[in-house]
Amino acid sequence: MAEWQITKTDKFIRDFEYYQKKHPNELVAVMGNVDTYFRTLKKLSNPLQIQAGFIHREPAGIKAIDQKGGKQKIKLQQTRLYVYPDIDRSTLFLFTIGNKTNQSEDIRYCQEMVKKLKGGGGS
Amino acid sequence: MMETYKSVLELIKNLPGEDSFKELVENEIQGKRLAKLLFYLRCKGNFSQKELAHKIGCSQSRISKIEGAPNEEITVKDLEDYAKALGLQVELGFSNSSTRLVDRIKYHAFRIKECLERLSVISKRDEKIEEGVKKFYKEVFVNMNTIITRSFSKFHGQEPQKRSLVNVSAPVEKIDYERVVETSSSVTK
Repeated sequence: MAEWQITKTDKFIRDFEYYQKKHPNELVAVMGNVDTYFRTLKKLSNPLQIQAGFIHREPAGIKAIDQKGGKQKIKLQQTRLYVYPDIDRSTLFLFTIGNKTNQSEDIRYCQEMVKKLKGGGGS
Repeated sequence: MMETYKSVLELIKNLPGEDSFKELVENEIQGKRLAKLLFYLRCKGNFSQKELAHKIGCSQSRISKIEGAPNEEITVKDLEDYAKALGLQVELGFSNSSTRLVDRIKYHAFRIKECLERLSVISKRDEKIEEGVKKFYKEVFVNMNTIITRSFSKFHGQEPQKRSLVNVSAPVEKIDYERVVETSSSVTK
């Protein structure tokens, strides 16, 4: 079985830059959680086996990783990093970062991305 | 074609932004390595946080707290609770901070030698066991060669990783051993 890898979309890069400036604490927490998710995915390969409070199941196999976890000194704003574990490609795609307000719009974007990936367009 | 990375840290290093911010993310990741190990062990055992909490006899929120806690907040009792519930045992070890990687390799090589010698002593009591142990010796020989050859082929001037105070290693598992045997037999075919 191929080793799992991680990749990002252009939208994720833009979101990453925005959150770094506007919500750095939330971004640190979310990236820490995605690291936990990815390390476990690399070892277990089965996304369904990975369950925690910070992982939310969304349609089409998309997962939303939030900022929760541990004892946080400051109250963090609800933040979600949308990812897609593509079993066939052994790749974790980082799609976009958003908040509670634009949740449905973000999920729609991710669903479109998954559709493209399944259709064979990998870039 | 999208660029791919082997870890979140590697990905972050290749994203635009301040080095100070990237350091914050790195500290967050390195500072919670024990929690990440416990998280992995729970998932590997196919337990939800609620199920594990039930097995340990605590609340789900305690499990959630442990799995998000920095290294310094995880107690030996937490490790023992996870180990007991998952059918594992805790092994703690200390090493001299000036110990070099080569010293570690030498240490493990001597430990392997010791174990093999113990095995040969045990096997002398029974012919069948002796035969099995001889076969095992051959496997060890092939596996060690495969490991060294594979490591040797990875030389391409990568930067050494930062050493952290706490080294977290996954427990040695039969499946890891089987994977090595599988690979080595395909190499020798």
